[in-house]
Amino acid sequence: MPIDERERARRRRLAKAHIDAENAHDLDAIMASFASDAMNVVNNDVSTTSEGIRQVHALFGLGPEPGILSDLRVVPEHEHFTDEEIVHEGRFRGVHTGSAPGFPPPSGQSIELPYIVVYRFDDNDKLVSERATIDMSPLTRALFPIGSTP
Amino acid sequence: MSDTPTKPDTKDLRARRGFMLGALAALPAATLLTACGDPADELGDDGELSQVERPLDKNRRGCAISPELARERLRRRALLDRHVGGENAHVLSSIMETFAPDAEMHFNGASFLDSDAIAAAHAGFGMSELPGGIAGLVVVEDRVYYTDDEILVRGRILGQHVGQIGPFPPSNLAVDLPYHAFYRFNQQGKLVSERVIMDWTPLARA
Repeated sequence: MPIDERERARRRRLAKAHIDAENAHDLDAIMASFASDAMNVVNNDVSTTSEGIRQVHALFGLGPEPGILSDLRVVPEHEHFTDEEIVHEGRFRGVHTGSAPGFPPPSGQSIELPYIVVYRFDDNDKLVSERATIDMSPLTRALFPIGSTP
Repeated sequence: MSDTPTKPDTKDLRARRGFMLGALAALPAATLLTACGDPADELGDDGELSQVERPLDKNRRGCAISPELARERLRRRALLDRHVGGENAHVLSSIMETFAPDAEMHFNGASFLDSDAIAAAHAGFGMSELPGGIAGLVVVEDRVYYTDDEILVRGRILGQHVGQIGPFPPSNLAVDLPYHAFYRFNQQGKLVSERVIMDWTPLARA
């Protein structure tokens, strides 16, 4: 790979700080990890403003107040490096206690949402792009209980 | 969400990448400066690899990529094109030919550990000659990344949700299902691991 161990360590440190802030449910610390012109993409939803990015994190339950999920933990399980990014495979773990437009009603169940997130940091150690695909289907299990595979 | 998904012409892409592999094989063993990412994107229409780092936006940095690494990336990309080409052609035998006998597929945390299960999963979506859950299915790759030993794709599956898929009954809606997928190919050019995370909850919006 064109990047060296020092660059890998930098990205690893920055990603960890971002996730630590998420797991502390500290929205200000989360937002401090983003560049002012950052982009956040979760599935097909794109946020390009600080307020939008803050709202997305709060919606999931990464702020001080519960969102769709309470007791939410971000659990990265595998890391990868591309030329410009650090990529995590992991799971969101929480309890489905919150409701929001477009989401199924709360089930009260403990759930895990598998994800892949691609993080890109700039030379100023700020997150300029966070692109996530999250399998949200565990939230729908109360409505669609049969089958978890194609 | 698209109401009328169109199928991209993958034939041109495959031909272009085959040409590029030939062009790269003739390169001297010197370090080449390219933009980061896909070496295929650095080749002009004439198949010549740019020797000059091109201007990058402020969040992109230049990368020095050796010819060996460029060749390995193009190898992965050509193999990926063959796999996705089979999916978009809806030819299950072509898809399965890209897998090694001991391949594993993981979809949203569910594991498919033999050829029959992997084939059934692809067919269930609508990637075979027979009708599946999504009619007119098209796999669209929006971005390709290279890791140390895999190729990562950010993309979408487009089509019409006409049949049962997993827990989701047909909605008859046009759907746009975003995904990230890691693909690992062995030295024999076979896919040994496909790991997909997809938001398939748009299928629940009947």
